[in-house]
Amino acid sequence: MNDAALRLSSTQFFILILAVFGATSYFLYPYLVLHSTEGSYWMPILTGVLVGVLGAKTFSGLMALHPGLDAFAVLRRTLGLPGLLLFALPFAWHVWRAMVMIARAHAEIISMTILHATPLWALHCIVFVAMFLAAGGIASIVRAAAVFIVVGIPVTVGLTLLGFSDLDFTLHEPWDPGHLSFLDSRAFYSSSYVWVGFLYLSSCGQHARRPDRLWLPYTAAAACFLPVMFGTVYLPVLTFGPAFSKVLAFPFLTKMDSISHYWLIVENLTAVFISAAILFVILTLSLMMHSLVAALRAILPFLPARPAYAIVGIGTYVSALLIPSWDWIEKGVWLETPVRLYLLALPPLVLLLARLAKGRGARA
Amino acid sequence: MRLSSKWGRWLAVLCLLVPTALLQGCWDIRDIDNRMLVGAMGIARDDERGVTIWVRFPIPHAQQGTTSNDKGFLAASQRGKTVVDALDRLRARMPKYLDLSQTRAVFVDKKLAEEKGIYSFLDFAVRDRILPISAVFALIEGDMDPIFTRPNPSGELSGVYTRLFFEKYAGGTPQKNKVTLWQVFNKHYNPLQQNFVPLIAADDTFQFYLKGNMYFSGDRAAGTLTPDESLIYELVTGKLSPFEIETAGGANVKVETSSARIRTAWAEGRPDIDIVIRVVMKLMDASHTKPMNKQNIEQTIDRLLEDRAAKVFSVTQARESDIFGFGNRFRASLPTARHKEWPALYRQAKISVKLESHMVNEGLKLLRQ
Repeated sequence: MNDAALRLSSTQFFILILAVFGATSYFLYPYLVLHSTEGSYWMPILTGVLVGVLGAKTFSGLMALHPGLDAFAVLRRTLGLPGLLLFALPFAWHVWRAMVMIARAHAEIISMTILHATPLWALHCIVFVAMFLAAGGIASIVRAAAVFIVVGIPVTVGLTLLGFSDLDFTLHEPWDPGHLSFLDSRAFYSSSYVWVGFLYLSSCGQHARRPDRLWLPYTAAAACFLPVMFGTVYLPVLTFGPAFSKVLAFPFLTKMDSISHYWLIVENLTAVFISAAILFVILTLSLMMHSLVAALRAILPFLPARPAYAIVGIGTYVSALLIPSWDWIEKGVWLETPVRLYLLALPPLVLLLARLAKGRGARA
Repeated sequence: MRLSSKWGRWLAVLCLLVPTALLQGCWDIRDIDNRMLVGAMGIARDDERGVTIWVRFPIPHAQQGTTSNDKGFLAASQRGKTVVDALDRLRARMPKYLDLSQTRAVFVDKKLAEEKGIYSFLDFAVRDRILPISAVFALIEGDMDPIFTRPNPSGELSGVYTRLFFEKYAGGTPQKNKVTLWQVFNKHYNPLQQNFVPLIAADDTFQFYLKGNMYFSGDRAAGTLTPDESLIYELVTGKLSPFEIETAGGANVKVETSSARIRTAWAEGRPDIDIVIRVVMKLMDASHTKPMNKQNIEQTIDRLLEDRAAKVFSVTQARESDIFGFGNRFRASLPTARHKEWPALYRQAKISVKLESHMVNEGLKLLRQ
């Protein structure tokens, strides 16, 4: 099918966003939430999701300015070349960094937990799997997503349910709604990388029947994933206690390690979980790559598609290999935060400018 | 060559397959017959500075061949500065890969736990994930040698049998109080609850027997509760499964279910803990010397357990060891910064226990004559 004419349904967008949540919210996220506040962990989670929904709402408003175009073309039409550059350049920078970090983080996790001796250059090859998927266009990504979700979601939901074993509810900390200390914590703003999944739909604007409703699949996916997000934070806390959970790099993975039942055939639940998460990571990387190539081609229209994917794929692979240590990933997520928040704040600003311009036009 | 041509397509398929082949992690390949799986591991004190580790490997019959080892297992010990160092030195002696990933039980010498604490010897398990954190944990009194070197009289599968001793689906009883490694870590980091772990010693007939359970004060073992006293812990934490108790009068009852309702408050700056335990039981054997009616038996059980509980609370309070996790219930009123004060607060706590036992039936033979 001709990619440009392809129309994606809300369900397909929902599946894509679900994959982004699946790839981002298991590993570093519980660590960041646990370190962002003393006890009311539900507050950073809910605040994050609310900010995400608001971001998605304004973003779909932006897309709806010119239905049938992707986000880059919309900005170009609305604010001209400067507007395009103000969005596409930070966007490309952010997506590139996010891809590098997701690829590297996942490779590190596999190396720390299941494949201790496999060299990182081999583990990073998932970047190329994602590259081929992205080069196939949005249609291949969506089709692969449907299959991956069918495999990945039951496994992750099942594992989350298994996580309910050995809970001790006296370990919970008070649900104090007045506990706003997370608002001035670095970790909270670092965790914002989970909320901005809608940005990766930038290249999908022309595939949406109703771009103004793009926020609905995001909200639905966030609502479906919210219990899992709570689980990744609260299941370790209610099992290990807050203090031990805080010293763990991946509390949810350690929680998986602690589960042991007589009737459970699988012993290494962590390996099952990571294998299911790889599917989400591949999907998310391909979606990100697709939007990155769209951004690059919006800035440099003469760039042919296939070489662009090759450059982006190889670039991501090499940059992911160049990261020296895990500390650097944590630091990288933090250093990336201003760009991410800028991208979050840009759509409402553009909408405001567009409305002002329209108002002025109407007066004139 | 265009990608749409026949050869181009094959090339594309090949390019997709090559990276997937790399994703399988062939670097880690170690066949099962090139590994020696540790069933149980022990950590004992060596001298002031070092430790001795003990490991027991099950040896499959197919591999025994005509060697002198027909016991079905191999035990090895190794000294080292730390546990990781001892494991490294052990590897230097081993013909095959030392695989700790299937370890079923981890034992620590009681003296080591009393004098040096346990956490520093176990920390590596969390960090490196070479040892499953769901392995059972126990302290060993006396020499570790017989526990690791003697054949298991009830059959081999050493590690598995060690674990079965504690598991409820096999030989476990409430008194044996199964504790896993992650539970030990949880309490190490939580000043509001102390560790309470089984203490075992070598047995004449079987591999080992339960001597009691040790309560911790901080990282170190502070004292032992007898198996009977350990029942109070199970009653308060609601982990008591079917278990028999003998009354002073000689009657035997079987506890079917028990539930504890715990109310906590502050009274004059001291924790005030009020516990009501409801026990549902049935009669196993009536006293043959002194006939008792249902009320008598219930009252006797109440008094017996209340007295025992009072003793257990006073002993653990004296050593500031809140093994019951009452402190967790004060999280709402005790800020995190003050959590460290909990052991001292527990010492001053006012604890009242009330038992409400209820006999549901008297078995197939009625009590009234």
